[in-house]
Amino acid sequence: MDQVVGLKSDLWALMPYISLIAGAFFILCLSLLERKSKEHKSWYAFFGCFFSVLCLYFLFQGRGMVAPIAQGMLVSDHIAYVFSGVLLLLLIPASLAHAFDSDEIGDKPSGIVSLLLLSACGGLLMAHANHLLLFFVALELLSLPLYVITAIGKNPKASEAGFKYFLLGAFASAIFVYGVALTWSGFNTLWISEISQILEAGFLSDFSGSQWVGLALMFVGVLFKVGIFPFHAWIVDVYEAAPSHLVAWMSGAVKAATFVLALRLLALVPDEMKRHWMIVLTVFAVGSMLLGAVGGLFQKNIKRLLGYSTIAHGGYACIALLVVLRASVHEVVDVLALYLLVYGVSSMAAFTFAAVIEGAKQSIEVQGLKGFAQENAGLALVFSLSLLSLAGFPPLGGFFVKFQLFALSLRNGLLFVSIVAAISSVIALGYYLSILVAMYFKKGEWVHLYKSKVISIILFACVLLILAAGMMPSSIMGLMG
Amino acid sequence: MMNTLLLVTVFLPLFASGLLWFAPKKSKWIHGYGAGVSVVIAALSVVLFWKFESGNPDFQFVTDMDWISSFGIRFSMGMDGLSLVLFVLTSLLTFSAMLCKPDRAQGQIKKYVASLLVLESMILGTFAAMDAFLFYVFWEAMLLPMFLLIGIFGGANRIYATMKFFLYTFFGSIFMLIGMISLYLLYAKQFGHYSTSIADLYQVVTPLKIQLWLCLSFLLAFAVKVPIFPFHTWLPDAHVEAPTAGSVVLAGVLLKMGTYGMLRFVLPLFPMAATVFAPWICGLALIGIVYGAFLAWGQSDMKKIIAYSSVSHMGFIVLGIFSLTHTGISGAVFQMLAHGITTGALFLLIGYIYSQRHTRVIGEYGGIAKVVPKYSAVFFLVLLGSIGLPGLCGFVGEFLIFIGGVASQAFTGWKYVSVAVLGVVLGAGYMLKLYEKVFLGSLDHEENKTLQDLNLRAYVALFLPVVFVFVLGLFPNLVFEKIESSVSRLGEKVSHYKVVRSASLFVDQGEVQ
Repeated sequence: MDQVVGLKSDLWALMPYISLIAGAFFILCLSLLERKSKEHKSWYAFFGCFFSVLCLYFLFQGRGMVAPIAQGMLVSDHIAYVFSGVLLLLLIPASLAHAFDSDEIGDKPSGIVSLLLLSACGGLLMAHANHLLLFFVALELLSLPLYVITAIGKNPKASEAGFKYFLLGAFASAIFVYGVALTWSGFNTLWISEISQILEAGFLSDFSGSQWVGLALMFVGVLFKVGIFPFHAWIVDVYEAAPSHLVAWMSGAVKAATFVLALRLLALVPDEMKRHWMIVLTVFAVGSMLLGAVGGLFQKNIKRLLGYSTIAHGGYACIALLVVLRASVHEVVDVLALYLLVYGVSSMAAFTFAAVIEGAKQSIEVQGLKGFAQENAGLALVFSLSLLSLAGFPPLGGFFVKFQLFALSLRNGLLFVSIVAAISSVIALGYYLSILVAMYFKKGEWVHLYKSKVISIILFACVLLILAAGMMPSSIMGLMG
Repeated sequence: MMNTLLLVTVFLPLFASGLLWFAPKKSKWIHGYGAGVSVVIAALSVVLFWKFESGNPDFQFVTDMDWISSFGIRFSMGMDGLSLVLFVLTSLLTFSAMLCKPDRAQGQIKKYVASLLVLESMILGTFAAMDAFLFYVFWEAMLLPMFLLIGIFGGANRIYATMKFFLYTFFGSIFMLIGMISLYLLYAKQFGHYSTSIADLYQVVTPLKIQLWLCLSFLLAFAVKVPIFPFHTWLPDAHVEAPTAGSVVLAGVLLKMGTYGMLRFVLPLFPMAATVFAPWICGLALIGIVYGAFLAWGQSDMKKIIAYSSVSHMGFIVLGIFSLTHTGISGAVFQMLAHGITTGALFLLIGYIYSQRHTRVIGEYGGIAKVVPKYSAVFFLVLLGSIGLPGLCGFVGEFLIFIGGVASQAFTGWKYVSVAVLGVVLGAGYMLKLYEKVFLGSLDHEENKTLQDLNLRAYVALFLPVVFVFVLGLFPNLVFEKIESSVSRLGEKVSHYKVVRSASLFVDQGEVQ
């Protein structure tokens, strides 16, 4: 009887995952009914959106549920809730955009949308996982669809980028699994909660060094997914060649999911080791910020440029991870989640814009945008706002989260990285502004661009959120908390 | 608490520029609309000036609302005497600037008017902000419309100039942000709750060692904006490339934001650090005064002369502020107004003639006083105001700054002042040389014979600045009356520390160790 009750409550708790997976297969089945799948893309968009909202609804319903789910494999704590919220919020526009604007991807919107939902399900699992093997499965479920969508894009470099992404990703996964194995040999368990109990009991001296190596290797796998220096090499190439709508989603959502794992792993680092981790992580954070800021200055392609911007932002987010080592996870969660949300939304606006441009011209160069603002004032404004938000310019959302991050890091005595962050944000402003210069100050041949209604709505929503996060962050924080 | 008048004055331009989004693209009414809005703002700010109670040192017209409560950030605005006079200056000069026609408009008049209006709104907000976070938001947001103004409507090298302007200022202010956050955290540590209100931050007790660093972070931002000597290189570029309206606002108001920041933040927040740094900053200011004057002397482009003269004149203001005396600070505030008015008017005048001849090189002119007598007369008047002829606006401020400088205990006053006086002499020199080369002598160039004298639009734009050149010179009390109580409150704060300075140095170092 207990088992039946347990199964029933489990079923409710698993509804978010079920709705995503069911959505993915439903859309695939739907596409079997049609002879030309392209014609029914609005249906795919609708169902993609519907199942993401459904998932979000179930997630919201299950908020605060303390009972362990699936025999404790999944936890639904605050961290998981907040970060999966960010992920799913970004999924709704992404599934819309993928279905409607699938020209650049090929003529299989149904497949793309279902892959996207599966990937999101991986991210969701990752946010809730409590078991290292589940982490691994979630990581793969998150990544594999991304490799596929990257590779089937229309960009001539797509298969190369997809392959590169896949190979390096496989490496990272291998390293991650190796870390899991070492951790298991050290702790004799793969449950995160049990590992932290063992650590709290304080028998550190009883263990060999292998489990710390294991922890570090797992962390490397995580950093690779986020694209932190020195594991950033794939980002720029993949961002350039992958379909823009995918990148629009990926840049924010994958980060949100993966940072949960990073937070959970960092919480396991024992006090004695923190000093060493601090040094290494500081080097990574500083490296990412500076590399992202300086590297972007030399880019001609806007998507590559935004790729460097992503690396820099990964570095800023790393500051929050440093704070975890200094203080505690709880202090960081909300700040980091809001940061990733605002970053994800700004970057979604920027890459959706890139998709619009790619639809009109084959390539997207900074110089190709000359004179763009003349005939497309609205689009230019949207793009400018998203770039300025990425640059952390007030009164936009990017500024407020930067302010929060600075306050957090200074409160914990991380003056050095804050100053590096400040300097790198000035350098990075140089390339953001260069795009504005091309759009507004130079003359060029642009006609008024047609953009579909869905794209306009997505861009409008993104801008609204960017502005709201900057001018009334309290309300957004309230929604998330 | 809400004061509608102040809020409306600050945000009306922003709202008005938002409405422009819906305006037809090439309507000829847009410019008139902009001028109309700026007249209304100017009128409102005069009303504020009128209603301001002189004797009251507190903030007036206060609006105070919850904003981001978890951070203790409040949306609070208000004005004391310092903000008031700069507020009025901003609105009046923006009106004059709005009347200038850009040379490179080509159907972009909408962007022009919108940028100017947003710029006005942000500057007014900066002066009215009573919350450090809000101040920073306005302070930074102001860069964007200026960036567009220079970048779209500027001269040949405009992109370089506007990027330099933007990056330089952003670089300076990002460190101020770090300093502000540190101060904010210090406040939280000492008082147990978060607040970014400027008045609250005044109460933070900072040990000297920390004060020095925080003070430097703020000073960097303000030094770039003023600009103080080694940070001045963006200014000539920005001025020369900017359209007339941009130059007017840039020289007239934007530079004052730097000195305003010093008065609002540096002196009251870090009085000890300010006394420690005063000799150094004044040294840099002196270098700026003399170096700027020499550079101005050597230029052949009229706008560059005025740009470098700004570097020189702003040096006086900084000298006055960091004399840390009541007299010096009053003089500095007065000089901010005087410099804003005269330099603004000079840029208007140069822009007027540039729009006809499309050159600003002195050698292209000469003897034009015969062709455009009214223009020459107005130019001469404003120029005299700028070099500080007694009876006109420039004199009062400089005079008080010198008195303050001599009386200063922060450094050996008379040595500094004697160098500064050299700057006045040089100033008269290069300005008069400019006048002589352009207006007097023989009329050599054929093109100059057909120059048009001032038209109605120019008269309207120049009317208020010219009036104020006289009014401020003859009735300086009009200003002093308003700023007196704010300045003396500031003076008390600083001089209190000066007396106990030597003692407190030891105490604080002891605490730190």
